[in-house]
Amino acid sequence: MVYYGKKLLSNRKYIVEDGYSLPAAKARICRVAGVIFLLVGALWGAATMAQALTPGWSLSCDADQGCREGADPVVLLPTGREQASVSASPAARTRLAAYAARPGVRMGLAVLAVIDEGFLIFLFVAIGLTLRRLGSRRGAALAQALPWFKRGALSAVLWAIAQPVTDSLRGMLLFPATPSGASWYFTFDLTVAGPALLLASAAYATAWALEAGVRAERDLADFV
Amino acid sequence: MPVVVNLDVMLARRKVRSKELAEAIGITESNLSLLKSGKVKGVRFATLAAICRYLECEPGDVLGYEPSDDDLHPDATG
Repeated sequence: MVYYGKKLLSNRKYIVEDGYSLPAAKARICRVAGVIFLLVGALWGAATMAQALTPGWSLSCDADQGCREGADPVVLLPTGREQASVSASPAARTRLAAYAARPGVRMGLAVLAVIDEGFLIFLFVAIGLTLRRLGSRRGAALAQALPWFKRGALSAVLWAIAQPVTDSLRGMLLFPATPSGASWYFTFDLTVAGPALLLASAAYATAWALEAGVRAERDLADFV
Repeated sequence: MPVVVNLDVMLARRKVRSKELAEAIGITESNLSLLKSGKVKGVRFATLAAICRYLECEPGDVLGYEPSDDDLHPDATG
């Protein structure tokens, strides 16, 4: 890619113009959308850091009461029986909060939060940079955007794979503080992970095919 | 790759200007200039045929080869 990029950038004025640059209005929309994705990624990153520092941290905003932040480790438990049993008992809730505040548990939850959300944050950043590059006024906009699109798609694939793993590990990490006690826990929601993995794989394959096409076209462009 | 392009020689022999040839065979002057200077990876048979047709010559009149041992293993040099 680098070879073709450098080779062609030096010769582009002589050979062919890269036709894959958007009209001005669409390019502007792409750039704005890219900034929005980057902002969402930055906000998501800040929220992840807060969740990593304070287990169960959340921020909710509404028009009447403004924004309120809270920290409830119960939300980190797998949905269903465990959440209900802990929520029903103030003692169990206190015990879970104390357990989640332990340095080792806190560190484990922080690592899981960063792994879990890290791929998503990177996905937002990658899509943002893809859109920014697609809206670029310089030539070869598509060729410059595709590598970030590919990285974003790969990040989505990894997120779809990591999600059930981190959910399972988080459950097993917190179960010792629940009434049911320590136990093995594995979760894999095919209705969520399945479509996510399929879509992410399709996006990666699309990026790969487009990149190969652009490379082949550029290769042929050196033929007169 | 010591394939040399002798197009400028043929243009001079036939007393044809680059602009005229470019227009006749349907490529841009800049691409013809690149071809003349050998700064292209390859030339399509269609382009070569058009050049030969217009200049009334053979492909060997336009392209030449200077033997080199490096060409026996082209993949090794990338």
